[in-house]
Formats: sequence, structure tokens, C-alpha cells
Amino acid sequence: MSVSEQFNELFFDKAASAEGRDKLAEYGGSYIRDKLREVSFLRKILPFQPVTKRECQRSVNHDTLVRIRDIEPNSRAMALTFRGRPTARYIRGARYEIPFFTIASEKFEKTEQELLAYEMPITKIIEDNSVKDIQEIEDREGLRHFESAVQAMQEGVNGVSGNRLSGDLKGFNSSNLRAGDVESIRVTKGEGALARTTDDFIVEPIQRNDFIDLFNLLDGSRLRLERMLLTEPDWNDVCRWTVDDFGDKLQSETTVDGYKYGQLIGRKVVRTIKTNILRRGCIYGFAPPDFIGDAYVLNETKFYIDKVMNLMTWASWEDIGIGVGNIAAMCKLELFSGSVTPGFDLAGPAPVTDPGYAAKLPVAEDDLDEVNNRADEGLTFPQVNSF
Amino acid sequence: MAKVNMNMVTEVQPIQRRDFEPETLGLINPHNVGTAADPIYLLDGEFLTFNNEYKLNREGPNPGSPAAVGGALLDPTGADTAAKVPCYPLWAERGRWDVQAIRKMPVLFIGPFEADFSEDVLAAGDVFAVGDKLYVNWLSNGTDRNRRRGLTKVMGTNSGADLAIPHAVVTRVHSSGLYKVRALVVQPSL
Repeated sequence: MSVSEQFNELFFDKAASAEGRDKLAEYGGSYIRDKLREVSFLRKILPFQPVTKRECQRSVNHDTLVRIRDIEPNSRAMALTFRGRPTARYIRGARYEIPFFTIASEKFEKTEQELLAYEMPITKIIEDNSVKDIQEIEDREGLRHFESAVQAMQEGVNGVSGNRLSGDLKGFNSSNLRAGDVESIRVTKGEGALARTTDDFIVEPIQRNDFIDLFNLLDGSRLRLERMLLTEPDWNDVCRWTVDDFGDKLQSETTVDGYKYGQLIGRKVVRTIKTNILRRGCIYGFAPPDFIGDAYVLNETKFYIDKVMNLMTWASWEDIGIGVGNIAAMCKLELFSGSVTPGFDLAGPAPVTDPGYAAKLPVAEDDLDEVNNRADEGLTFPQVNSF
Repeated sequence: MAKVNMNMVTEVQPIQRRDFEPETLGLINPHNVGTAADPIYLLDGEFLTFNNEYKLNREGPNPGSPAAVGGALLDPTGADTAAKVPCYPLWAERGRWDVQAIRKMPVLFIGPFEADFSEDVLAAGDVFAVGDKLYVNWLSNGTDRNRRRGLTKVMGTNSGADLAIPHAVVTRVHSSGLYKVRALVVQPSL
């Protein structure tokens, strides 16, 4: 019997008893918790802190827990004559609530008899994949928080006469940006995107100046952009830069090894291959975590397993909270010319996005389980019906 | 605390509960009073249906019915206003933060259950009696009348081949019979 088959058998045997289920649950829980910290890009931007019920508050508005955090109070100094007195400030600090929600794997089911038909340790693989699945949703939710934050900052300047409340919301696309109908507060367009004459979602390769424009969105408002988040394909476009951008030494290195440093133009880089969550052409910049907000894991990651007759059932989940206390602490560079601005121009009312905008937003959760292989359609090679 | 408008009487565990995204985010904004482009916030116990994007809204593709417009006041006695497709009750009280954080709404999706429904998600014009069949239709109750969809006896009129389908049956009538009803809901209703 192979090791894989032994694992499958062990999995089923242990699930038959309460003690065994506890051991499997313990094993599954510890394994998942360890991997999650390692692989989520969200956790590199906004590190998760463990919290327990004692550190949270019960909401008076609904039947869940929240965590309340303080936001730094404002203050200033002033120059005075020897006879003057400083102005007064009755101090007040804002605070905000962080909600919690659950991210769970699917509830997996398999009969004992069908499990015998597998040589691979399918239960182990599913467990491993559950870690990645949960991590993907973590990243997707975090990214939606960040996108909401930058769009909320932009809302007040996406229109000549104010924002959508005045009925004049405009989409943040290259045409409106060139015409001066929208401004860059927390979102900017790349050079290539700005030069396009149509507002669409074709990604133009990133230029060195695009990064500078991104940095200036935060650096120009008493913040500092500490790290960037971008997709692997966008990162690869950096290798298109010429000797004018890199200089001799780096150009030589890049040609042989690729760009191998963890920072670019003095800012840390977080890269991701999850191009169905962070879409190509979307680059975010972030201030340090303590300027952004908070992320929490409530209690431990849970693992559930049960066996009823010959049917195995198992699942894992975690309860997390993500809060953006300072929505001004992040910004976005768009390498496409079209608008993904949410909301309606009330004069229409009509959406202010450009056709095809969904291609630059995270895909639906249901679409995250797409597979690359075509085995279910019989497309493996060589096979008898190839010819 | 937010008022609970649909109070479960039977067990939750056997019911298939699912989370879905709303068609528009205004549905889960607890302060949204409703505009032409942005329908009023949802209450627990309101019934929702799928649109063509697998998202939930108040009306969905109800055969023969005009498209729902958020700010419009819709007459439950009109043609094709009662639901002809399965509807699912929202199981999240107004203002829950987990709902707002991930922009998903839990509904009781498959399986029968019994619950007490408050006046805010019932049509007050009805005088309920045990055994009454209940349809999902625009409600004529409260300040948000004609903008919410919940259980009512009002079937309205039907055009076309599809008839309005009953979603529940009254099992107990509280007090005057106008404001609180216990109903057995069967999901999905076909």
C-alpha cells in the first residue's frame, strides 16, 4: 500500500471515532493556520493580529462582535508673540468599528467506497487546497476594501461641480482626466493609458514615470507610500524597461536574472499571481499598516470533520475582520484608459463605468474555481481519440 | 439592537442557508431611504429573488411583471406583481456588519421552516386566518409601503401562463391577526 493510500485509509479510520476526529481536526487546524500567514498577499500589506472575544465589543446594533479602535487625534502648533496665547482645542479622537465575518472552505463530502479508488491522498490535497482557497477569499475581500477606499476618496473630485450628490458624477477615464473633468486624488492613470484615444481596458505596459505618479499621490499628502501591490505580469513589464531606465548594471542583471530585488525605486513590492483577484493593470500603493487600519483573526482557524455511515464530511473556516480606518492611506495606478468608477450620474441616471469594466474588478467567487486542465472534456494527450 | 422581523420557531440547522450578493449595494445600506436608482434597505423577512447575474433583488425576473424600480410605489393588486418564481427570505437583521463587510446576504434557501413574521414584513391590509396561503408581493404596510416585498394574501391578477405561487401557509395568528403571523414557509416554492 502506498503512503497516499495509507493516508486515505487513516483519514477514514480516524474519522470513525470521536477521538480520531479530534486528532484530525487538531491536525487540520494547526496546518491551515500556519500556511495562511505565509501565502496571503493581504497579510503582507495589513498584517493580521489574533484577537479574542475579550478584546472585542458586542455591537448594540446587531447580534455580532466588533472591535473598536481609536484613530489618532489631530493637533497643531503655532508661533506666538511674547504677549499672545495659543488657540484652544477641545480634544477629540475619532474611532471606528471593525466588523467580523467568516471565510469557509466548501463543505467536502466523499463516500468511503469512492475514496478507495484514489491513489493520491485526495483528502490531504483538498486540505492543502482549502488553505489556498481561504487565502484567496481573504485577499479578494481585502482588495475590495481597498478599492472601495480609493474610490470613496475619488468620489468628491470625479465631476466638474462636485460629486454624484450634485448629479454630476463622472467616470475616472482618460478622456475625462485629459479634459480636466476629473482629478487624481487617490487614483491615477499610466502614461500609456492616458495617451489612448478610446476609453477601454487594454493594459499598457508600466513606465518608470507611472510609479512616480503613484508615489506622489501619497507622498504629497503627509503620508509615505511604503509598498506596492501588483500582478506578476505587470511586474514582468518592468523588465521591458530599457538601459535609459535601468542603467548599464541593472540592464545586464535583468537580462540574465530578471529583476530580482524586493524593492523598486525605494519602495517594497508585493507581487501576486492571482490575476483573477488583482487584475492586470491595477497597481495599489500603501502607507505603512499603522496608517491604514486593522486586520484580525478571531480565535483559531476551525476544522470540522464528521462521518455518518459511509459518508465523510469536512470543512474548515476562520473568522476575520478587516477595517480601513484611514481611507486616504492607499492609492491606485490604472494602466488602462477606461473607468471603473462605481455609482451613477444622477442626471441620467446612468452608470459612469465604461463598457467592459468588469474585466478590471475581482472575478465573482463562483468563478474562482476555474481549472486550466481540460481532462474532464477528454483533452489529455496522447489518447486514443487524438487522431 | 435592530428589530427582528422574522423570528425562527423551528430549527435552523436542517435548512440550507446560502449567501448571495445584492443586485445593488443600496439594499444592504441600513441608512438608504431609497431613490429611483437605489432601492430602500432590506429588512429580515423580506423575500428576494435572483436576477440574471445570480444576485438577489426584490423582484427579479418575475414573468410578465414590469421591472422593479427602487423609488417607485408598486401596487400589489396590479397585474403580475405577486411572485411567480421562488423567493427566499432574508435572514439578517438590518445593519449587520458582516453583511456590509463582504456585501453578501444570507437567505434561507432550501427547506421548510416555521417563523413569526412581524408587521413590517407583512401586508397590514390582510386579515389573516390559520390556513391562509401567503404570496410574495409588494406590501401595503408601514411608512415603506409598496416598496418592500413580503408575505401577503394579495395575489393580484395574473397574465400569461404563469400563476403566482404560494410561498407559505399561516399556522398561527397572534393578537388581532393584522400584525404578527406565524407561517410555515416551504423553500423553494414551485
